Amino acid sequence: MTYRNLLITPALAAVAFLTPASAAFAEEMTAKSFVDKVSQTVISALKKTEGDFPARRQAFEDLFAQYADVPTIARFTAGAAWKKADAKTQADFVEAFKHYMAYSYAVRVSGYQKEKVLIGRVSDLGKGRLVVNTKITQSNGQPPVAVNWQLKQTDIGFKLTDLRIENISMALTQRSEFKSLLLNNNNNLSALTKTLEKRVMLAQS
Amino acid sequence: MIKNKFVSGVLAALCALSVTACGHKEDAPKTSLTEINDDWEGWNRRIFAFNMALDDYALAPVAKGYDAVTPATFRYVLRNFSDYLYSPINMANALLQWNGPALEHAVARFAINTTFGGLGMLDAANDFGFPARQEDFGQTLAVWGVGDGGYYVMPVFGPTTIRAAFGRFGDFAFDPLTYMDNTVALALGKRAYEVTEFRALNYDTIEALKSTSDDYYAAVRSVYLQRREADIRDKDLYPEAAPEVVDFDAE
Repeated sequence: MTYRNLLITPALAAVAFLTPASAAFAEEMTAKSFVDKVSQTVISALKKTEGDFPARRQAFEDLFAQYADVPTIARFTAGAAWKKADAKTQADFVEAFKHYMAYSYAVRVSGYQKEKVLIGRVSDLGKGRLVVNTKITQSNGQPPVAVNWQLKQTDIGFKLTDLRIENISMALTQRSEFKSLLLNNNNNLSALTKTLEKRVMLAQS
Repeated sequence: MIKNKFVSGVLAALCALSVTACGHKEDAPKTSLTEINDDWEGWNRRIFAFNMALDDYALAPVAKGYDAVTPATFRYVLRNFSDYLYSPINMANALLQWNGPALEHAVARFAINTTFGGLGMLDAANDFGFPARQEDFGQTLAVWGVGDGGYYVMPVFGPTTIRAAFGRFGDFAFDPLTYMDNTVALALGKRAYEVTEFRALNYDTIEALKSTSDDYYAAVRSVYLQRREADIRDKDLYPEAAPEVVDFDAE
């Protein structure tokens, strides 16, 4: 093999890898491995925190901070009230929302019962948005539950923006719930922030 | 006689629904559920509160007791048989919608569960790749272009849309129980069983949602309407189709 061949072969390989199809394939694989990593982390957290609610809430808070795009989800769930609020109110809401989500999911996700997460196809929707289809097997003889993970590509890798469980979007459901609360408070984001803080404080006491 | 009652009932329902539907621009096919057609929210919330009290004092304790005393295998067989009885409704509605994949799925499920499933006692079709799914006359009306008529909470029966509620009359015609003696008692008994089984099966999930929701009414409404839309659009039959996503950039 000549020096020329030595140089050309890796260069060709690099070019092939960088073609659009290969880049898309690489992105899909990264998305799948992201979902796999998050799933395993959740399962591990559920196992470790069995029967210890404060620890479970903290584990979910860490998970949200690390893997979810909390500001984007918070902004969406606040709806029209977000635009009316100033930067400080928005920041306070994002913080309260993070605690509230950790509390909600710590209550809603029951203990680990040998469920398995089977990762399926990935759909690239453009603009850095991908959806990873998964099925979660159940131990009680019920059919698997379809869960779609909506991801967003950011500067520091993928972040989770929504979970669609059996075609029910968690972000949309949360937004609908907040909308009613906001309507009763003149679309005042601070009032919603206080409600969320109060809810989390009650759970801690 | 039943047939005549059924036909006139459905026609009256369709007329009423068309008038109701005219007033709602939201009846156009939706791409997201950020806007919800709940014009009777005040009334609905009162009925919902009544239903919640009924759930707290009657349904939840009954479901818990049922869960405690009924063997899991017996429940599994009952669930399968209940689903099997629904087969004619599934097939008829798939046909009325002229929906090939849904009809194929419904016929395959029925054939497999009749034979390998021992007349619906086992869900063998699920193992053959035909999981349980439901087509109903409310979905058929949606496919025919009838508007949803708005969100409505029925006493005892819970969330629905006007279209889905009238759709129940249509399903009555395809239900084999309709043509047996003591139809009303059978239908009510079956419904009572279905509600109890559903509540028992989802006991923890429902309790968790209730305890963490600041507006449980809004959460249930959103979940019901999203689920209903997914059923109408048969999303489970087209896993290769582009997934629906929330457009976070639109806000």
